[in-house]
Amino acid sequence: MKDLFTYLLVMCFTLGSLSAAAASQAEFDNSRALDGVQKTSIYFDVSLTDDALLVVRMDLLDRTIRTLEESGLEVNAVIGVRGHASRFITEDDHYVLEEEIDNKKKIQEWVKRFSDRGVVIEQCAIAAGMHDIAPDDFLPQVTIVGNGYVSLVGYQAQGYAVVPMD
Amino acid sequence: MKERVFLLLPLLMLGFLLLFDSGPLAAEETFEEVSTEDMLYVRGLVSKVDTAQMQISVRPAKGKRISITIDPDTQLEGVSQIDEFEKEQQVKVWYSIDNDINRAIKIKKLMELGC
Repeated sequence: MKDLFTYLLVMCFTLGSLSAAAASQAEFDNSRALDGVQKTSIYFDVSLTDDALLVVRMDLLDRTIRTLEESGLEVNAVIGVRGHASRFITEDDHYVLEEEIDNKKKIQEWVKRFSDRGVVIEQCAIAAGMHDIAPDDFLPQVTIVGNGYVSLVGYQAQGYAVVPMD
Repeated sequence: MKERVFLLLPLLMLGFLLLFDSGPLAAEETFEEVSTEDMLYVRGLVSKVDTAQMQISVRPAKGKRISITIDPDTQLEGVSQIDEFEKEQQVKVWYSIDNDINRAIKIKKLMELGC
């Protein structure tokens, strides 16, 4: 009985917090920044080491793209992966620690979802080499590029906004 | 006589240089990145550090983690003692199996370049 009461209390608190967060988010917008903008291109520079943080950032990245689309903008997005983050976009449970496997599965799901939505996912070949990851071990949705920094420079020169996620 | 000394001196110096240089080079060559009859090789991520037991656990890219015991004879590269190892660091380990214990011969911590 006591457990049920605690459970209900926690649920009420969680729902209350979520609705408060949603309400406060609805109060704010980015209308001034997006005024007159019809098309946007973004390069997400992802080099995180922490698996849990990477999962949270994937959600944030999705929200960012969705918010722009819901504002009526045409969005071109590229996710450039390098550093330790490279380990999480490979097949199966390889290249990670046992305790990172659950979060790796979530990240793999995000990669598939992003790819289905037309988001380009690029992996730096130099980073792959540094982490001894064979090119064939990356998810099929991932495109390997010679040098992630060169991609970053190139996309920036093309007018992409670079969003660091480190 | 003087001319002979002038001729011999550079040769002697070259000999000394070769003698002292070949030591580390030869030692480096014995650690190939493959398992041999004498020692096993693994590259992976540090998944656990146990300073009390003088052990680190290493998870290879594909496979189960293995415990490696460090003793005073273990050559460490990139770190000077066991407590400098951290989770998720990339390491190369050369070890031998002695009474079911994986004894580290050499552990090399790889540089994190961030790229």
